[in-house]
Amino acid sequence: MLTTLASAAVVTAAAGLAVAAVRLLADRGDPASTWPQRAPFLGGGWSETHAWNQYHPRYYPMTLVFIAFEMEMMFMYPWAVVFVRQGAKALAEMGMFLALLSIGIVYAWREGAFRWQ
Amino acid sequence: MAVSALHRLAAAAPVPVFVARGAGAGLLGGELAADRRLRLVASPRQATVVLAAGHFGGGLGPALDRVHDQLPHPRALVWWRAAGGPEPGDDRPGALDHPAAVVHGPGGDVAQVLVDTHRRLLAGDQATAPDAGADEPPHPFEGRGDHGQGGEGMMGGVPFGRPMAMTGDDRDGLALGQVSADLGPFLVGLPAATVARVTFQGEVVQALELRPQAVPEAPVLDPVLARFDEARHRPVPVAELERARARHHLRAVAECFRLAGLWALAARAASLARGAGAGVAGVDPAAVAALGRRLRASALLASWSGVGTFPGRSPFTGGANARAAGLAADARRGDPAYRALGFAMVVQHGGDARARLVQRLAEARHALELASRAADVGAVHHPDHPLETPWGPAPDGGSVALEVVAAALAGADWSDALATLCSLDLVPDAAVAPAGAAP
Repeated sequence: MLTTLASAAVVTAAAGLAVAAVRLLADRGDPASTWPQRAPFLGGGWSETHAWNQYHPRYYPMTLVFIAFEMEMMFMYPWAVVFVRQGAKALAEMGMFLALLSIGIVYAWREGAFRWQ
Repeated sequence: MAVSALHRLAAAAPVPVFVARGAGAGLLGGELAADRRLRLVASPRQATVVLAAGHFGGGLGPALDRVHDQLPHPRALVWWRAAGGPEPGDDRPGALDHPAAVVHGPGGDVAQVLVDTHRRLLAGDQATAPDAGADEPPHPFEGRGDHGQGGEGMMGGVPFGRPMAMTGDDRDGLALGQVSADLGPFLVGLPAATVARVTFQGEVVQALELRPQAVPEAPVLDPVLARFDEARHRPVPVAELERARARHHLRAVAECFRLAGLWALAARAASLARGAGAGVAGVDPAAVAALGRRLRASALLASWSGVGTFPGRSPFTGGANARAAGLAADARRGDPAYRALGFAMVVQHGGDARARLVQRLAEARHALELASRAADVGAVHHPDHPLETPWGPAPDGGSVALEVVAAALAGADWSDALATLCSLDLVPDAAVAPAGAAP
């Protein structure tokens, strides 16, 4: 009982602190620097490209697809050994695993990872 | 308590000043490097005061506003403008609407005004200058989604609504990403009132375009520009012309030192330039020779050797740039007043940034010697005789098309390109120089 109460108190205090912090920080409407101050100094000139122009990680969607298929293969070999002994149970487990991975593949598809432009 | 002590300490330190070179100001602002109370900084982020020297119409206005808004608070703007010039029209930049101080004419004590403004700012007696432009993101995200976070395409698509940096062949046969930006007009090393549109591959300039920003009918603040303009229409003592020439060359050399980060040498050259402008007893030619010896002891000459050499024959047909490439051309040879003084031309070989730097120092020293001889005999230049300005024979003999310079710099490192532009001391804009006095 005491443990439950203590836990509840800690959770309440943490939530209160979080809310207070968000409120306090959000009310400081004056930002530290303006947009011109944050822009790079080009001697009065202006860049035509956004800050991420050079650094956008284009390989992200490709990485996603790689991880999805690689994890699949990594677990299939040991699973094949276990499947002989376990049978239907192992089949069901692999089905769930593949279903989860498929969500990632579908997501990558939606993001255009399979489109070569 | 502690904060006010810090304020007092900050107020006593040299004032960090960002000089924005407008039309009609020439290299006048660079002479402030000689003043120990000031520190000329290369970026507005380091400055508390921006000195707007000259006039800022046309494309210079928005650029001045941007630079002004990039200064951290507390900040102020001091406007150094020509005395008696026309009031700027409706295209006046917002930054000039409420300057902390206005200095009229080149004779005003700008350094003291800058120091006073800085102290008032830090003491809280002067309100910080508000933004001249809008506080908006220069390139708002325009991608898909609630926060513009999305885009489309993986290989060079349009993430965040903006195209990716695409690749292009570089000088070594590699395909590297390209980035384009407009640099200037207030960047140390670039010609006055000129925007450089640069396409970079890493630090290599892949393409360069120099765009002079026309400022119509800008009054002249710089006494050097004014003196050479006057010499086209009225008889002017040779001693005054030569002192103005020495003053200009020393300022151009100081600008190169600033670009190279040699602050002590820049201060020394700027101090000599001030002396040359001060009058008869202003500066001893031997002091310029001593500066030349000090320069040879630095590594600058070695690092600028072979930089900015134009392929084939030098495109310059006159002026110090031509003489630095070994071309014996000087309009002063055709002036009887100079012939009577025993004028002898100074010429270098090589035609690179190093030769141009050495040439300018040698011409400054030579001009001071000529000035002292001319003052003794009272020699006068007549407007009917040929006139050699610091940029070449008047009206436009020493000029070179900016496209030629820009094309020669494609494939150069950015540092070499800036060194080349600084050493060339180009005056591309007719509005920067008085009408027709310089190319």
